Amino acid sequence: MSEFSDLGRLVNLPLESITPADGFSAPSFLVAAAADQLRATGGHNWVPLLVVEAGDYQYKAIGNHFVYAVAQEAGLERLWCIVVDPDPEQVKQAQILAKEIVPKVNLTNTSRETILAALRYLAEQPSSPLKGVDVTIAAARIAEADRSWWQDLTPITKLGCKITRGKKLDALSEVFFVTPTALPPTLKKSSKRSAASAGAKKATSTRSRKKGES
Amino acid sequence: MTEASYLREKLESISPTERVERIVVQRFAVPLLQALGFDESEIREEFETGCGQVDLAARKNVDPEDIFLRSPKNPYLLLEAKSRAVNLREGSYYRDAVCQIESYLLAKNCKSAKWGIITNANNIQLWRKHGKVVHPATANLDISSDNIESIVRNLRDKIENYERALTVCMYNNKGGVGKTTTVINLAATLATKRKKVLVVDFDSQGDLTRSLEATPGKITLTQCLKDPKIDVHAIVQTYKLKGFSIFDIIPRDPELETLTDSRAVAYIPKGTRRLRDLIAPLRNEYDYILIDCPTQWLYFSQSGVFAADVILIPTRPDDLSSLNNAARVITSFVPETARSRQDGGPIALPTFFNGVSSGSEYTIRLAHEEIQKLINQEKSVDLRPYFWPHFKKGNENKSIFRIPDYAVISSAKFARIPAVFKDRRVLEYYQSLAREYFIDE
Repeated sequence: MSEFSDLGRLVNLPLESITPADGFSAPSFLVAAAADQLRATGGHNWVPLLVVEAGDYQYKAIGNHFVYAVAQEAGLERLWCIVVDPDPEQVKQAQILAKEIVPKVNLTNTSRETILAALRYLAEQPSSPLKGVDVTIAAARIAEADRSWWQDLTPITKLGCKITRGKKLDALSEVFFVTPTALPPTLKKSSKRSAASAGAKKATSTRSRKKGES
Repeated sequence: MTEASYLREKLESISPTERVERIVVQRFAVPLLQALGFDESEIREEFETGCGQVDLAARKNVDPEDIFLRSPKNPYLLLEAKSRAVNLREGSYYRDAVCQIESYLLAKNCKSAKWGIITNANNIQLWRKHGKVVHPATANLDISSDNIESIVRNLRDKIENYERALTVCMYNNKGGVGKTTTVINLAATLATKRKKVLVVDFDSQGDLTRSLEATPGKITLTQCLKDPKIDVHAIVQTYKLKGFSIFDIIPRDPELETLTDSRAVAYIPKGTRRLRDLIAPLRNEYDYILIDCPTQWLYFSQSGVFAADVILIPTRPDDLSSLNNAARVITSFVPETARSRQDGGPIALPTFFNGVSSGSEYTIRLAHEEIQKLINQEKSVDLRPYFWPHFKKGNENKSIFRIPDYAVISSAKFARIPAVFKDRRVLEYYQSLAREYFIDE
């Protein structure tokens, strides 16, 4: 890290220089009670807000948004922050570690254990749409399927594990994404066929040439 | 079609392997100057600088009777072109081109010139002249069809908004080399040359502030560092002598000491980059801004070097460690800062010997031997021009500018008044320092 960059540094910033995230919401009891505790302990937030530089002396909150909400409630003028690398992948990593967003895994090549853990995580969420789904069986069937060519999650609905289109399948997209690593079986067959027919044509033309030569 | 898109079209018409310099001049350099705001009557080819012919020179025609094309005098901008076969990205050809534009800018027919460009249609770099100092105004940029318009915008913005000040940081990683004494006496000397000077005491020890008996006002430098909304003019004071204003000063305040602790630096937005922003509004109000920094490559010196156009490095011939540390500043700290700035700067000026006592020729010989060793050892940077700026092929002149110890000792004696105002000889020494590095007269 350079001496001339704030990336990774703990900095004390005026609250007014920070733009909070849109759409963050926390129960008012939690915010008010945490603000009381913050005030009572001298107003030094030991858990920093995560920010990225958004302009000259301007910052945007990207993680630990609860800290911002509490600091504002407590009437703090300044806040301890960590300046995060603005590269989107680095921001995503910071948000995952701050549990702002859920990390996703590539379903086309992930292990049975990871699939089971992900489904259990989803099923344990309050008001999970996966209630009634046997996650052990679902994980086993997904793991056994040839997933390498999947272009979306819909093939899961054909595995007979009670995961249907709609809320259940949508819930899975919170933890899985797919990046196919092989061609779909239909394409594989057709490409084999075309290779075979190309070979046959070549053989025919060779034969006919030979005929002509004779 | 705009000049910039015309320029892009012309750029694309040049073969990637074009070996003829003239093609680059005609198809790229001339349209470039036009895109920078000069019309055909304001551009002259093969301008005689007094030190050789530069490919192009330009100047706006303000007086209808004085058309630059017909009366090629007082150029404002010079351009030296190379063919695409010449590697201007780095290496010896690039360094040669830099030396060439520098010598043209400083030549006798180019006193009025403020800007120099080197380009081969693959790379381009803008250089600025301030008095005798020629320093980069942009990084050495790679040119492509995609970025040529933004390059032109950037160059045009700089050329049309020439900043008045040269910002100089006095720094050596070794203490006891007379940095503060040099800042005070150089500032006073430049003031005698009718230059408007600001000195910034960016050393938490505050020797400069104490020497001039300056006291911080209600609003302090530390407060200004912490709060970008404070107008920097609120912390500028004037050093007066017998009722006459000599130069301005931003004094050190006691709270500045707290910034030796990195936890306190957390309260400075943009950290080591903040000082550069802080003095930015003053760059059009002064001819010189001199920053005094402490030793040690930490917050204060990093900030001072980051804020500067050029770094002036005093050394002592009787202190070989000061030579080693000067080399470290040149090979490590300055390039590291330039990489972060991404605008070509800062650069180091040649070092000088401060406090040379009479009869110390043996000491100086030892210092030269040490310098030779440093030059031989260093592989990444050619140190020779930084220690022996007059050394040339065929003329191995190893002279280094010297300020005698008489001047430095006198400065200590007249602690509260710059020695240059108390002793004529001392003034002459510092005048020669100003002439050696800064003033073109």
